[in-house]
Amino acid sequence: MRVSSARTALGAAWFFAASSAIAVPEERLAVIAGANIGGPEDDPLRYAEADARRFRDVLVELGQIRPDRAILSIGGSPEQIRQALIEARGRAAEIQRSGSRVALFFYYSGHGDEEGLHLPRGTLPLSELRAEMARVPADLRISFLDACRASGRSKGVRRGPDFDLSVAPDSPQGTVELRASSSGEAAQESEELSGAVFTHFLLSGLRGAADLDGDGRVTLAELYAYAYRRTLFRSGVGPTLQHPTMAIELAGAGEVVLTVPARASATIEVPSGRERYLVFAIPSAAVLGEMAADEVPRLALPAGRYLVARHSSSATAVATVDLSLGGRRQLVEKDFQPISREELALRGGHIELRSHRFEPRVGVEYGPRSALPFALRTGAALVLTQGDLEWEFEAAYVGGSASITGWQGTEQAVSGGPGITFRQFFGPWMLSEALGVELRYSWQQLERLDRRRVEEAGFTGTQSRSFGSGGPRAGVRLALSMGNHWTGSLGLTSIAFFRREASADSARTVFRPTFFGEVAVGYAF
Amino acid sequence: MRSRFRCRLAVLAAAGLIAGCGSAAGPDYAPVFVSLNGVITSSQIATPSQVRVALIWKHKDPDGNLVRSAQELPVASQFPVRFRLDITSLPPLEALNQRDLGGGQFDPNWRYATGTLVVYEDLDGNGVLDLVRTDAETTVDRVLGAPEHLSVFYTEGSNVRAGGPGAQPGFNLRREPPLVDPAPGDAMCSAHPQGAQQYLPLSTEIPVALTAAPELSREMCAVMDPSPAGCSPPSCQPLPVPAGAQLTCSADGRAFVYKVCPAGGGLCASTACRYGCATRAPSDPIPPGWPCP
Repeated sequence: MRVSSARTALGAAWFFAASSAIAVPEERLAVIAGANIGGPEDDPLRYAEADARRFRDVLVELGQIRPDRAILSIGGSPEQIRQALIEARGRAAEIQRSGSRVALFFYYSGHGDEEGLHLPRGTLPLSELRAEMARVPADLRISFLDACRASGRSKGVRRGPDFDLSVAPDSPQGTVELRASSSGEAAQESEELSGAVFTHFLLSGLRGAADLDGDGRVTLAELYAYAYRRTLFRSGVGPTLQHPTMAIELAGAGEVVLTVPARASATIEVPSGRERYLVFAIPSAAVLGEMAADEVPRLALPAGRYLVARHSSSATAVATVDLSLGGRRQLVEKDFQPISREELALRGGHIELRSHRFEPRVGVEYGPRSALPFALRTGAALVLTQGDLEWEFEAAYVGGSASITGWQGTEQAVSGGPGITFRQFFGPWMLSEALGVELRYSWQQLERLDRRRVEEAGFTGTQSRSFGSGGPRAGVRLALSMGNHWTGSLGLTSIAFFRREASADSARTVFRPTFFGEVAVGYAF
Repeated sequence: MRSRFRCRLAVLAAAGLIAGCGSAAGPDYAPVFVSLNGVITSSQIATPSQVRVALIWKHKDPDGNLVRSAQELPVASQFPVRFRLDITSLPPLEALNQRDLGGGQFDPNWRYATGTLVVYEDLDGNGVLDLVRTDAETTVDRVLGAPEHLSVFYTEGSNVRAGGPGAQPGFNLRREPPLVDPAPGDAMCSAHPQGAQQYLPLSTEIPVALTAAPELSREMCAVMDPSPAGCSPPSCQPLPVPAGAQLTCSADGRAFVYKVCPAGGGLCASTACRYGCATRAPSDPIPPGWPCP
């Protein structure tokens, strides 16, 4: 508890320090573009557009950019990017009129060469891009270009002419351009990282992996140092080296703070050592970032559930972390389970360590026009999780008072069946829609209301009946994650039962819709 | 191929579970106590569409009035020729009588009810036979026919014993002997059955003639006046014989019976005939007004 309080206090200190360091009042704008498709001679990329979206998410989450000021252009034409920059120009002018400082971020992921950015409907010359950015009345312009050459799926942009400087006396003013590679080099996309290597390390760095001094802020210098080092190291295992570059022309005092990971709603910390950690979101399996334990062993994340994969020279291991409600989680050695390198390579973030869940359930069942209108339903489900899907088998006991004209008694049943569930996540909440089959075996113990008379007239006053019923079922369930193992949920299900029913003179198959609501507590293992 | 097999297996399992594991008692579940079989022996009328069958139970209240209550019977088979009636409930409690032990004593553990089947046209379509009040001039429904000299006799109670030739616990089918007028010199001065009641197997086919005769409407009277007791000495002096009475004298002229039957009256007015009886010894002087020579 003391440790937690200390960390909270430290986080708050980081936040205020960072807020003052960003030279308040400062307002930020971003134009973020991504295009998988380049020019006619470019092979399509797989992750450029996804990289752009992830970059925007990090800026909004940690970079103090309002969502409506992060202008996104996905798969668009040069004209779309021009329009985005014109829009940014208008907004920047508006902000400046209010007396605030303006910082403009530009990010591009896609094909390109030394002359320009290759977009689906033409090339946007770098000279024009720089000119357009210069027209935006910003005090600070920072661009990140993760562009590739035409051959294969490698990337690269050659160094271009520097931007003009607009010098200001206090906070840093000017332009900065970070590029994925040096002149003549290829830039890489990675299947393992599900993105471009350079962007992957930009994002990881912005999430705190670059915060070498541990002050809770990631500065431009820290980010470049980190991205350069990790990209170069990573490309060293591939066929070509990749040297990220930075062109910087700044004036003024102080540091350029890009993100404040200390403000993140969730943080994962890993044990110190020489291992490398890759963080995947669950269940999307998207790569959120990477940590090197010997540098900065923490990563800022949005609230959610994560798989942390640990790579060392000798072994790989994985751990799952549930930060659906946010907070900080310090992973320790015992949280990790060994896994083969081949399996991790094959399944990546689709590994769910606790893929089984045992879920006791209790609820009330309502069957209009049946002999058992209201009943208690209690049972348990065994659930197997596979990504967005769950396979479950539920078994339950159902019992209550039977209600038939002229009779009283009880009806009990064993019920259950298999089902498949599709899961959707909304922060700590999980909404699942289920389809399945319900089979039921029931028995009735009935007694006539006028039993004494009936028996005195020579007839039987009681009856025992048993019967089967079955049909499809569908339902929804809302679950709240309560840590790494436990979930609480509330479900509503309807069953279209078919059964044989006896009336006065015959038995026939009838349709009996049944509904039930349940609460459940699940334990994942 | 394998998934298709599994799918078929699941469907077969569900169908087998539904079809092969018995049936539930549904909300309108009513098992049959007894089934009676009937046949339309003749029909003098066109069979209407809204034909139903009811069992009319007759109960004598403490004042001797005949109180009726109706119990609807589902017709399992369709008219017009043969039909099957399922009795799915016991007679209503108000229809039950207690066995008369004599001397004003009754046995509460030997209860019985006597009922008559009626085939009727449900004119108002309300699904039940509408009984009418004593002062009613018309009926709601129309009785088309009723079996003659056949009644449903029901017994219950801890003192009712199964076995033997008489009534069994539960429902019985009983042939009622016809009523005959008393003969001069009889000890009983009222109409009485000629012969013994006979219990029939429940499988006996019940003949019903559809006549829609007006007198059948009387079966719908909820309450009817009690039959008058016969007038015979010493409690009652039958002389003089009322004018218009139907007189029967014995051959030796020492005994007579007269019968006066009501004419007209309302729908539910009593139709029971009133009897007067007297017998004189040979040595007795002929009383004044003695009607027989």
